[in-house]
Amino acid sequence: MTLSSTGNTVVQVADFDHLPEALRQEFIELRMHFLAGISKRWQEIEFPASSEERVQALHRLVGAASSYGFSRLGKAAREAELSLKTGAPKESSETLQNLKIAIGELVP
Amino acid sequence: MSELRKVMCVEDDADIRLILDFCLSKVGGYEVRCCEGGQAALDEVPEFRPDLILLDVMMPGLSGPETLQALRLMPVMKGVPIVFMTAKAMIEEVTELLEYGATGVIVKPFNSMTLSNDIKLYWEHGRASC
Repeated sequence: MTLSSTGNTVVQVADFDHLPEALRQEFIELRMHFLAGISKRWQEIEFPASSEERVQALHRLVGAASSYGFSRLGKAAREAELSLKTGAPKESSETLQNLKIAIGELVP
Repeated sequence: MSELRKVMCVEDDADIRLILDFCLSKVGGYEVRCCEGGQAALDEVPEFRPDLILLDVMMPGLSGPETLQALRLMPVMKGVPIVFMTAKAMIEEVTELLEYGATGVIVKPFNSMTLSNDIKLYWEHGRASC
């Protein structure tokens, strides 16, 4: 049996609305905590110790971003991860730039 | 083991550990133990005695598959389902992960609000077969 949950928007409004108020507030605080650490994640991606570490940092961001409901950020990170793995320099540069823009939209 | 009570999460990303703990303990009501790597999981399993383990695939140190293989050698893990979590969504990669002996594969991003119910299905399916 294989289940997957790959929906674009992770927290549907209906799901979120059914949470008790205290849990809703806690989830919002968790999202804010995630966003507070996004600059550090970008530093790891922009100035990695190695190309492998950059891919790993992107891979972690892919999993984390969308799980917190930031689907656009997760998608941008996924595209950057894939382009780095395929090794196309121009495409990698573009996808990293798109990721930077996606981050900037969340944390101006 | 008549009900799913204790869930161990093995995940190297701190933010994902936080959201897993929230989804499973606060939303799902399970007793949750989060470990940041495979070795920590191997160390804590004998004491925690999980009913199910959620295991990240790509981790520094012991990888997910390496951790699964070591866990399967532990007597306390008999009948305990292990479910991989991965950001890789290619079907061939999912098939490969299942061949390691996992009960299932959850593709990240997981649905934060339904995860606690999803793992119950894996537990019901997997406890009889591992």
